[in-house]
Amino acid sequence: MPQLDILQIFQGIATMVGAEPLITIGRILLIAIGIAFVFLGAKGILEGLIMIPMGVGMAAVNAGVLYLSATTMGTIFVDPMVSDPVKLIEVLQINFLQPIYTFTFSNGLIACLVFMGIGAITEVEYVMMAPFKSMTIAMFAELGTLVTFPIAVFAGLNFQEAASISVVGGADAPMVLFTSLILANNLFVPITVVAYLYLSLTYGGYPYLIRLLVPRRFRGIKMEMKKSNITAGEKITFAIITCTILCLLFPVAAPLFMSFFIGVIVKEAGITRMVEFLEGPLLYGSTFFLGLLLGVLCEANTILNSKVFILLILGMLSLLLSGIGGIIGGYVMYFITKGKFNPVVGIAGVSCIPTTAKVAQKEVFKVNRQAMILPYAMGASVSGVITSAVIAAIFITLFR
Amino acid sequence: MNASVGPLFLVGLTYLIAVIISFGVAVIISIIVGIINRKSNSAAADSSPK
Repeated sequence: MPQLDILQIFQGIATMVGAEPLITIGRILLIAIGIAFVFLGAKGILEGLIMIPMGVGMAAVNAGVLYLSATTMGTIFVDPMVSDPVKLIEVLQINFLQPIYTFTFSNGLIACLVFMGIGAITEVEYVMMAPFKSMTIAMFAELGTLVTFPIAVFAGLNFQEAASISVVGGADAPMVLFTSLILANNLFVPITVVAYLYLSLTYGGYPYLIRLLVPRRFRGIKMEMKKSNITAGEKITFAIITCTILCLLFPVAAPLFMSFFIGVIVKEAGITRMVEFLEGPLLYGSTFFLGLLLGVLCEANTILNSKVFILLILGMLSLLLSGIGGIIGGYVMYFITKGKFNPVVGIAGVSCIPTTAKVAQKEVFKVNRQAMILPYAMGASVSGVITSAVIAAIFITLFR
Repeated sequence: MNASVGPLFLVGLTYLIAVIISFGVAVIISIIVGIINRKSNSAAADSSPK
C-alpha cells in the first residue's frame, strides 16, 4: 500500500512548511497585506481600481505555491525570471498569466495602453488657457523626483535604480512602470507596487499637507475665470506638434508620448466610438490586468529583496517632496500675480490625473464655496504629466 | 556613462533640460493659440460691414 503524506495533498501548506523561514514569513505577510489591500480598496481608503486586483493577486499567489518538481517550488501564475526562449514557450503554455506578462508587461505595452486611456480622458484646454503658469507649477512639483535621485544614489542604489524610484515623485504610475522596466528590471515589481501604493494614498494624505502648508486665508482665494475660446483644432495642433517634437528629442520614450497624445487627438477629433473604447474598456481593462499582474508578481521569492525597505522610504519621500514643491510653486505664482493665484493649485502640479486636482478643489471648497480653482488645477495636472514624461525620458536616455 | 559625473550634476542637467522643454511646450501653445486667434480676428474684421 503506498504511503501517503497528507501535506502532498495540500501543497500550498507543504511548501510553506518546507521553505526557508524567511520566505515562509514573507509569504504569510504578503497574504495578509493582500487581504488588507482588498478591504482598504473596497472601503475607498486605497484606490480600489488597482488595489483590489493587486490584493487578490498577492494573496492568491503567495498561498498558491506548489512543488513544480521534487525540489523546485513555484506557482502556475507567472514566471517573471524566465529568459531562455525554449523555456519561455513552455511556461507560456503552463502559467495562465504568462502571456499577458510576456506580451504586455515586459515590453511596457501595458503602461502605453493605460496612457492612451489617460490621454482620452485628459482635457488639454486647461493647460492651453494658462500654459506658462501651469508649466511653472509642474516644474516645482518635480521637486521630489529631483531631490530623491541624489539621495537614492547616496543610499546605495545605482543610477538606474535611483532614477526609477525617484520618478515616483512625478506621481504617474504607468510612467514609473515604463521607466523601471527599462532601467531597473530587477526592481520593477517593488518600485511599481510602491508607486501604486503611495499614489492610492495621495487622496487621503495630500489634504493634510495642504492644510499644514497653506493657511486658511490663502486657501479661500477666489481666482478669476476667463472664458475659454480654445477650439478642437487648436488642441489637435498642439497635441500633434508637441508629440512629434518630444518623440524627436527622446525616441526612447516615444511610445509613451505617442500613447498619451493619440488619446488626446482622438478625443478632440470627436471620434466618439474610439474615445469610448480608450476611456472605457482599454483603460479599465489595462488597469485591471496591471493590478492583477503586479499582485501576482509580489510572490515572496521574487519581491523579497534587501532594497525593498529603502524603496518604501524613498518612494514616500519623493511624493511628499513633490507635494511640498507644488505648493511652493503655488506660492510663487501667488506672489507673481500679486495675490490673485490660489497656492493650493500647486498641489495639482503633482500630476496623478485627476486626483490631485480634485483634492485641491475639495480643500478650497471647504474654506470658500465660491472659490473655483479646478480649471487651473487641471491645467497644472496636465502639465505635470508632460513634465514627468520629459524627466522620465531624460533619465532613460541618460542611464539606459 | 562617465564615472566622474556625480548625481547632483546629472539631476541639475535633467532639470535644466526639463525646464527648457516644458517652457518650449508653453511657447508652442502660445504660438498656436496666438496664430489661430489672430487669423480668426482678421477673418472677423474682413467680414464686418464697411
